[in-house]
Parts: sequence; C-alpha cells; structure tokens
Amino acid sequence: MVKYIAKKLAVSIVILLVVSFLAFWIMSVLPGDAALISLGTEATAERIEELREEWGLNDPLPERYGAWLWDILHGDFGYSTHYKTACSEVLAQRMPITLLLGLISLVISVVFGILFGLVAALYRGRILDTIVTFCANLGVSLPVFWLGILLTYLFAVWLRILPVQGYQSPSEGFGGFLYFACLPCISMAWGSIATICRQTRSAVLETLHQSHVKTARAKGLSEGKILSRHVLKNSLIPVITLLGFQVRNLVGGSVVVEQIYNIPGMGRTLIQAVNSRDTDMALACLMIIAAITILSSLLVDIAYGIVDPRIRRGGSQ
Amino acid sequence: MEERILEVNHISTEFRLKRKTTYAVNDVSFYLNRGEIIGVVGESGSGKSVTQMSVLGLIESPPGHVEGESAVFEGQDLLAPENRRLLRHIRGHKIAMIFQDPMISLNPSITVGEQISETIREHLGLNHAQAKERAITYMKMVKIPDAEMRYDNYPFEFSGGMCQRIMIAMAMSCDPSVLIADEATTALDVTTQAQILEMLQDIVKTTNTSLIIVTHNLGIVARYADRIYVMYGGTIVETASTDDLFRHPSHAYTVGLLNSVPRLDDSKDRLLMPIHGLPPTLHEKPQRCPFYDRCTQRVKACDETLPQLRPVAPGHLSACLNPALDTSLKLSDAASKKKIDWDKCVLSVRDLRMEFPLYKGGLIKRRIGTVRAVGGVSFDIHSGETLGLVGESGCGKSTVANCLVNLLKPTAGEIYFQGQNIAGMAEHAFRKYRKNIQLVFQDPFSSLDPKQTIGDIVGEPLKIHHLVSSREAYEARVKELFEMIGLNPELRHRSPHELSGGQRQRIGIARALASQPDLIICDEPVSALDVSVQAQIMNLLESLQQKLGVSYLFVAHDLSVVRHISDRIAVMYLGQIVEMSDWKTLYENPKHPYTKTLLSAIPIPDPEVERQRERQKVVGDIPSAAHIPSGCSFHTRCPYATDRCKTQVPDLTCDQDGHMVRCHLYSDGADGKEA
Repeated sequence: MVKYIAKKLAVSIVILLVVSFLAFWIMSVLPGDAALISLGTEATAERIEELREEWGLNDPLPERYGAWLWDILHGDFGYSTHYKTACSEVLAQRMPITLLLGLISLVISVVFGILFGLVAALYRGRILDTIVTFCANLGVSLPVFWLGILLTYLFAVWLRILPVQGYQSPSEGFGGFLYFACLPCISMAWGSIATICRQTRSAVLETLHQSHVKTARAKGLSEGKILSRHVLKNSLIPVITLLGFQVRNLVGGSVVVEQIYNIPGMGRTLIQAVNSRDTDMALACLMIIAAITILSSLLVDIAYGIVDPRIRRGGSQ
Repeated sequence: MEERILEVNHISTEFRLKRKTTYAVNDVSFYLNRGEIIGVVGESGSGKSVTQMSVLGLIESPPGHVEGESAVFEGQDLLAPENRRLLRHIRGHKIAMIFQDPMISLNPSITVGEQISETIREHLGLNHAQAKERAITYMKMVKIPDAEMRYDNYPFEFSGGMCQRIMIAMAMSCDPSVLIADEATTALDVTTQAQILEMLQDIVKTTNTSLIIVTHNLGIVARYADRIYVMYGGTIVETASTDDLFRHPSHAYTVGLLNSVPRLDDSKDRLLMPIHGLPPTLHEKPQRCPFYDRCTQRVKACDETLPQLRPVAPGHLSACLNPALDTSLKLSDAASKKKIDWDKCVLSVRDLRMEFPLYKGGLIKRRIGTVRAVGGVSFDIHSGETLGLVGESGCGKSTVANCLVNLLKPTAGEIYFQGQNIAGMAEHAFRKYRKNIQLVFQDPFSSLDPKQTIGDIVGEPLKIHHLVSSREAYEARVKELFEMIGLNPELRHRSPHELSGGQRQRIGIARALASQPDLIICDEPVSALDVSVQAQIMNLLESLQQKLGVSYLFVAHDLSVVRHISDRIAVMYLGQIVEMSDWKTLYENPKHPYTKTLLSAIPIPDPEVERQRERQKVVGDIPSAAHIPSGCSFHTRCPYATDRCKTQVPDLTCDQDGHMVRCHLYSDGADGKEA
C-alpha cells in the first residue's frame, strides 16, 4: 500500500510540473501584459519598456519559468500587480472561503447523492425511483449559472428569505455564514448530487444482481446486513471514480458561483487576475486549483485501495 | 430407519414480467431423507435450480411468484406465510447452498475468513474470536492449506477450486442438515471437479448431512447420487433410485438424454442420438407433455393431457404415456465410412513453442518472468483424420490452435502446411493459406457479428477469397452451405440473435466450410451447448467429414466428447504433449499418470460401470504456467513421482505401435513397468 501511494504521488508531481509549464506558457503568449495594463493607454513606449525590464518581462521564456518555479518552491507566489501586494497574502484571505464552500458542497453531494441513489435502486420501478431519477436527470442537465440565478430569484427576490449575494465569514457568526452560504453551496452541489445519485443507483442495481449477493441471501443474512456489508461497499468503487471528477467540477463551479453571488473567493480572484493581466496572481490561482484537483485524484486512488483489495494487494494474482 | 427431512409438495413458480409470464416450475414434488444424496438432473431452463431457490425463499418477488401446497422441513412448513421470518434463520444454518461459479459467488471485497465467520456469528451467536476459530476448523476440513494464514486472504487470491472449497466450508460451518450444490462443479476443471465432489461426498456421509446435487451432468449423478429426479420443462418427468433409473429408464426424455450424451466407455460405433428441436419456452402453462414436440416416441395420449407421475416399479415414477418405450442404445457404422489417408499429412507441427513475457510496473515496464504456454509440441494431422487435443484449462491447447491459424506468432518451431512453413508468416503471405485452414469457435454467441445477417456471415469468405464469379454463383453456394449444415436457406436473412445456440454453431461451421478448407480447427465447439444439442453438432461434424474428407483438429477439455469424434488423441499438460496415440489405445491402455487421472475424474453415466471402475485420485491444483515445476511438470501431483521426476525432464518416447508417452516410468524399456 505504501509503495502504491508513493508511486501515485510521484506521478502526481510530474503532472503538476507539466501543468505549471503549460499555464505559464499560455499566460505568456496572451496579448498584453502587466506593464501595459498597469500603466494604461496614456503611457509612453519608453516607460512601458522600462517597467517590463524592471519586472523581468523581457527575459526568455525558459528563464522566466525557471525563476518563477524556483520562487514558488520557496513559497513565494510573486507580486500581484492588481492588488499591489504579495499574491500569498491575497490567497491567504480568499482561498479558505472557496475551500470551505467547496468542502461543504462536496459533503452535501456525497451524502445526498449516495442516499438518493440507494433509495432509487431499492425502490426501482416504483414511483419513488421515478421521481428521484427524473430530478437527477434534470440536475445533470441544468447549468450552474442558470440554476444559481433561478435559486436567487426564487429564495431571495420572490420569497425574500435568503440574501441575493454577499458573504460573511464564519468567524463573524456561524448563523450569518450559513445565511449567505446556503444558496451558493446548493447551486454548486446540485449537479454533483444528481451525477452521484445516478451512478450510485446503477452501481447498486448491478451489485444486487451479482452472484455473491445471492450467496449472502442463501447464508440467511438480513436485508440490512446484505445492503450495508455486501452491496454498498462493492457499489462504491464506480462512485469513488466519479468523486474525483466532481471535485474538479466543484472547483470549476466555484468560479461561476462566486461571480454570481459576489463572494470574495479564489474563483473570482482568478477571473479578476486574468482580466487585469495580473500574471502572478492568475498563475498562483491556477497552480492552487491544479494542486487541489491532482490531490483529489490522489485521494480517490487511495480510497480505491481501501475499498478494493485487488488494488491494495498490487494484483498479486 | 429413513427419516424424511425435507418434503416438498406441489410447488410452482412463475415469473410475471410485463409482456409475458414464464411458468418456470410446474407442480413439482420431491422429498429427501436424512443422510441421503439426491440428484436433480436437467438441461438449462428445466427449472432445476429455480425449484431449489423457491423452497428456500430465494426467488426475487416481483417478478417471481411461488405457490405450493407445502414444503415441510423438520416439521415446519417453509411456504407458510407465518414462517417467512423463520426461513431466514433456516437458510445458511439448517439448509445451506453452494452455487455454480465460486469466483463470483464470493464477495470480492471481504476476506474469505470473514465471509465464513459472518455466517457463524449470524446463526450460532458466537463472538468474533469464537467464530474465527470455528471458521478455521472448517477451512481445515475442506483442506485449505495454511488455513490460519489464508483466513485473511481475499477470494481473488485463491484458485477456482479453492474458492469452491471456501464456499463448502461456509455452507458447512453451521452444521446444516441439508446441503444444496447447484451446478457446484460446472465451472471447474475435471480433475478439480472430481476432488470437490469426492470431498462433498465424504463430508455428507460422515456428518449424516443430506445433499441435493443439481446438475446437467448425468455422469455426476450416476457416480454420487442415491436417488435421482429428472426435470424437463419445469416438471419432474421421472424419478427412481440411481441404479433403477440408468438400468430401466422409463421416460422418453431420460432415454433421449442417455442416447445423446457421449460416454467415456462408449463403443466407437455408438451413434449419438441428438434430441432435435428446442426446449419449451414455458410462456404458457403446459397442457400436454412438455417433451411432446421433441419426442420421437410420442403417442396420441401425450398430446391430450399433461401426464402425471405414475409408479412403474417400487420407488420408480415416470410421467411417460408410451407403454412400449424403446430404451436401447443405437449403433451406427459411422467409423467405418471414414477415409483416412495415413500417407498424406495435411499439417505437421514441429517443436512449437509459445512464450508470453510477464511484465510489471506502469510507465517503466520490467520483465519479471515468462509464461510458457506451449513448450515444444509436435504432431501431424493426416488427410481425413480427426486429431483430438485435450487438456484442462491453461494447458496451452487453445494457444496451439491460435498459432496454427496465424492469430499468434509462435516463439519458435515450425508449422508445415502444403509443404510450406507457415509459422508466424506475415499476414499477406499467409492469406492464400488462410482459406485452407479454418477455425470454429467455442462461444457461438460472441463469435458471430450481431449486425450481419447469417447469410452474409456464411458468404463473407466467398467474397474475401474471390471464390465466386457472379451474384448467382454466390447465392447458390450460400444455399448449398446452408443445406450442408442442415439449416433452411430461407433463414439466411435472419440475424444471429434470432437463432438458438446450436443453430449459431451450425452457422459457425458453415462459415468455416465456405472456402472448402483442408483443415478445420474446432476450438471447444460444443462446450457452450446444452447436452442434447452437443450431439447434433458432433454428428454434423462427423457426417461432413465423411462427405468432404476434411481433417479436424478437435480441441476440447471433455475426454468423452473427444473420444467420440477423434481418430488419434494427444493429451496436453502445462504446454507439452504427455501422451499421444490412437483413441482406442489411449482409453483402454492409458500410460501416463496424468491421462489416467483425467480419465478417472470423468464420471460415466452408468452406476454399475462406475462402481467397478478403478479410479486414480488426484491431488492439488494445476500449477501456473509462469511457474512450471522442474523435471516432469506433473511430478507435483503424480502418485508415482520419484526423485528422478523432480530433476530430469522425461522425453516423449514411442513404442512399436506408435503410442507416445512422456514419462520416466516408461522411458527405460520398450513397454516399461506397469504402473
């Protein structure tokens, strides 16, 4: 198992390096740079050139990439030309907000996704199954931004029980935090609940028809034990695969949701940074998002090993 | 004193689906005495498994629906609604069940020990430590080596035979009074099957447990059962003591079944009498004898009522209405019609070797070993001859077949066909030979393109090899091929899924025949088919050979099937031929200990013959082809193994009659000492 994790970790680092180079290269070929943006349209060519020289924007690409990577490895994410402060300081403020909202959404989607999926599978062909499956199909096809706007209209404008937008940190009162976080989390989790629900339903149905479930029944186990011990664990393998994708979707969704609900998180910072050619800030956000995604797929791989002994024992067959 | 432990009266099971209802079990009654072994025999769809599941309440409802008068087990009616809850405590505790495929019948993500302990804790109320101790005792009983250590292993870390032992340990762990083995050895190799069944028999006889063997294999019930129920179309058609049933079969279906199954002790000229037609679909409640459509001995009354079981002798019931049933085995002169040209070789294989490297690692692969699938195989196939190539799974017989048709490129060795070495030839060069060597596959369900009509499938080789010059010639040839294999040419616009397994296998044969090959390689052509259909295909292959003079390489694991069709037989073990001779010598005077073991493992559907047979028991599993034992590769399982066998590889020696054997017991003199 240790060897297995070490191997996955090594692969993850290689992937992260490749992503970092691609991100850096794309940012550098985009038209316009930080010097142009920060000096505005009135600046003289000499002044721009001077600033470029000062910020090291004229060095060859590999050299700039090397220096940037070296700094990051030392915990220095560079200087934000938009916020006029160190990128790490901006991140320290904004990253926790996105992570917290993302984590809550993930927990909601896993709990409700598996629960609804299980219920649908157990009551397959009945009215409960039809309702859950219909909602899940609807959920998969609704785009986040559209759902966000719809929820805002329903709960904030029409019913007036939740705020239209904004954010309050949990340190200023947990009730207030929930009041503001409710709608964003639901919009983010909705699609994931639907996807996980559908996958759980089909996986449980498939497992229920496997021979070893027949064995478990012939052993005289109660239906409850058959479900919890024999069906659920074996059904979780395809669901876990999906979780890796869902983390990525949630990160992507946070960019949109933070924009809609005006939440000062990382997603919004990224968009601002790209719009203002704040290269260092954008790259810092990209790297964090890439790291989260890769970390989540690493966790998925480890979870596989826990659930499926064939992987844990390294296919010793 | 006989004690009825289970008595089932008039049970019926139907599956109600939206479109149609299937009447899977119709008014079935049977009983079981304490300590008795009964056999329930029938083909797929006969309702034999569903009956057992119905009694145990294992039929899923909906769509299943079980009705019956009673199923009394130790004084309690299992069918009574108030006993629903009780049933769960009887399952796995008092009545335990073993299923067909052990590899998928165990939960893949729970250790085998825990799966056994779970049952014990559920029914006997022991704590974890006690349950584990008991589980290990039972693992030892079913002869799992190092049971304490193996307790924490997962099912995938065991072989199929070992998994079935675990299943037996699990079933026996609460000391049940009834054990049901539902096709428990069908997925296993013959030598493993024999070991498992011997063990089951020992266990139930020593513990006075009753055993129900549910199987399609007549030989198994002949060898192990005390009493037999024959099922067809969801009803019991005949029941008698084992001796009685085989000596005086009294139902047309039982007779038909006995006539259609090849036996290990058959005389060569026995004609296999296939049962024509298909089993009933059971979408309507039977109003007449379910076997009526396929019966060759039906009388008028069979069409008018549903025959009931009536006594024909004490303890012998039959539901056949024909008072003068012909029960004799048929003889034919098929063998004498063969024209074999022993001077003309169609194919010569010399020292064929096929090795597959074993790799480990993802990005950077390391070679960690070699799987020797075939390790130096030589044989000839003569014109008009059938060579049988037998062995258990993993012995390399299919690899040889694939090398012959250039689907695999052998590591070394030569294959001479029409004077040319075709081993590993480039595809464009091999192309002109391909039409002369054809292949018939094992699984008729997956080996035909589902999107093509069967006419197109049969005609495709004609187009590929440019064998016809016009549309008319093409149509005529396809029609001719359909007639040759006994299918109505009108069916040629159908697609494969509209045909039965036997019909599809006929299409596979027609496709192989289309290019008029000299040699057809049949890779387990009947093993996926029901017993009554197997005979149809084997007879077809034989009559085609007589008509066309084509040679066959018949690859199979079933020695009784191979015996019936082959002129010479080669036995393979771990990639090498261990014995080769004409069929008669091989069956009457086998030399190699492995051949003897293999022959002993196959039960003959005749209890009298079974009792008189001397059987050589086998131990252990087949070693992996990645770790072939040193010296003689069979020495790990051989009862005659000496120190010499462990170190020195025996050569294939040949006596004056052309009987070849690879064994040190025979390598010193011409005949060697008798084993």
